[in-house]
Amino acid sequence: MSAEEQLKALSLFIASRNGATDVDLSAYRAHTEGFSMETFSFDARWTESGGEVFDGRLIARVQPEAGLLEPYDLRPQVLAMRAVHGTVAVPELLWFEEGSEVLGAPFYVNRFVAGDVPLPSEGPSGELPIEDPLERESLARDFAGNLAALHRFDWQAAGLSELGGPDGVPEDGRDAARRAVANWRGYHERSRAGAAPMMARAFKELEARLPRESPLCLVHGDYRTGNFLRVGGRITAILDWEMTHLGDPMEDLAWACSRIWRGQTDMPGLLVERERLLHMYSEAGGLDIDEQRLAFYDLLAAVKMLAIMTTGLRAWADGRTDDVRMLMFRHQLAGMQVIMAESAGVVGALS
Amino acid sequence: MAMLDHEKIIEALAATLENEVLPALGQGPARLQLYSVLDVLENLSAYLEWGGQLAELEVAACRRAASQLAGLLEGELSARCRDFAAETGGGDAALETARTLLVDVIESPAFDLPEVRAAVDACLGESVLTAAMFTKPSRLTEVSKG
Repeated sequence: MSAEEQLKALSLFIASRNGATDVDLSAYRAHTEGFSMETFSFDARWTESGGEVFDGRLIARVQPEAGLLEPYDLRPQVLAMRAVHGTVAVPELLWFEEGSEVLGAPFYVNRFVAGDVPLPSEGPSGELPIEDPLERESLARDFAGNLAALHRFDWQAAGLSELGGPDGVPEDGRDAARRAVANWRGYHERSRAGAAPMMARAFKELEARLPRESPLCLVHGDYRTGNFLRVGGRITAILDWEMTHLGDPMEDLAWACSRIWRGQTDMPGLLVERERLLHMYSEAGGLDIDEQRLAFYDLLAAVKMLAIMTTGLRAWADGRTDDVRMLMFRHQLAGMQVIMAESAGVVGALS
Repeated sequence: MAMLDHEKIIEALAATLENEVLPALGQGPARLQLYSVLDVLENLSAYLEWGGQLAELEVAACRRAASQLAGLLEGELSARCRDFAAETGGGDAALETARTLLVDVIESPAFDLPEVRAAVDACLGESVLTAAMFTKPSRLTEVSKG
């Protein structure tokens, strides 16, 4: 659909949902951040049935047909975002449409939140995305605080059992870990292009390191620099909830601290040192930190990332997407395997 | 990856440039596709130049490991390792045979033996570090910003 067609379809949708009149959508802008969802923002103005006028900017996120996290299902992220709004910095979600009649695929609309997205990569001369150390410190504190709030969120009281997945709520953290391994093994098996000994070695190591006991909480699943909006030193919104589920809190911490997002530094997400970030998380009321479980989930992070990359490549190779960005992953598999080899103890730490 | 041949990639890059990039160069989505095309081309040229040699190095590392593993394993796996160590062929078929053999060793009960694990890890470590040396820095930042 063209931009004009999308806005026209959304105008009709809003009018039908709200009984709104004089719906006027304009200033369409396609957003290129992120690899999964098709995202666009627009100015919106309408008169509600009670006479009140809405005037603001909105964001629509449309489910892609194929890509990194296929098969897609917007429902879990919508449930999670709605539930934690007010507890964690997330955009307010206005509508979720599960059908494909309006925009050709399921979508949701949320209020636009101001801010830019710092990316977890350095410039050509090692420049950090956020140069001011005080700003990094402040962002790290917000980052840790939002994660602590998410992990302490009472998902049972909020009725989020559905986020346990098709097999229901995991019995405990160990069961969640076992399911996570099975889930990513599935992604790997569906997308691999031949024998993959490093992945086999990683899965063997994960089985050996499977955590014994751990708590169960609401996990974001992709919590890292690159997935939050900020204005100066404050986080204005945590984005990209596509992988949210019930799991071990160490899963988010390990993902956030993974070498994948550190560049050539020892700072997770290019914010602050690992120990500092973990301390901030604890200080903010996060759940108990366990280094053994962190090590398990650090390896799972590399497995997950590599499986995501090969899933994107598979979607491209099978003709289900023509997005050339998927092809970039072909050349990043080698670097990801080094991170995996380090995490699995196959090679010594290189940095 | 075997699922992607180079001619198909180059055709796809040309189609992207023609259909998505050039008609809308000033717009973010077109720019991010352009950066992606450049990234893929840079790495593809390196791969075409060095890829064959890289595969040979991985096969050679696997042969050394197989030679060692033949003496540590028993039965069919030992025989397969001995046979592979003695072979001299190269190319994609040898690479797939080498990788399959390693996976089978890793998934076997014998992998719990420290010497077996050490031999496999030495081979894997050498292969992944060598492969990473052939990869150019990514344009992921430009692509993500569009």
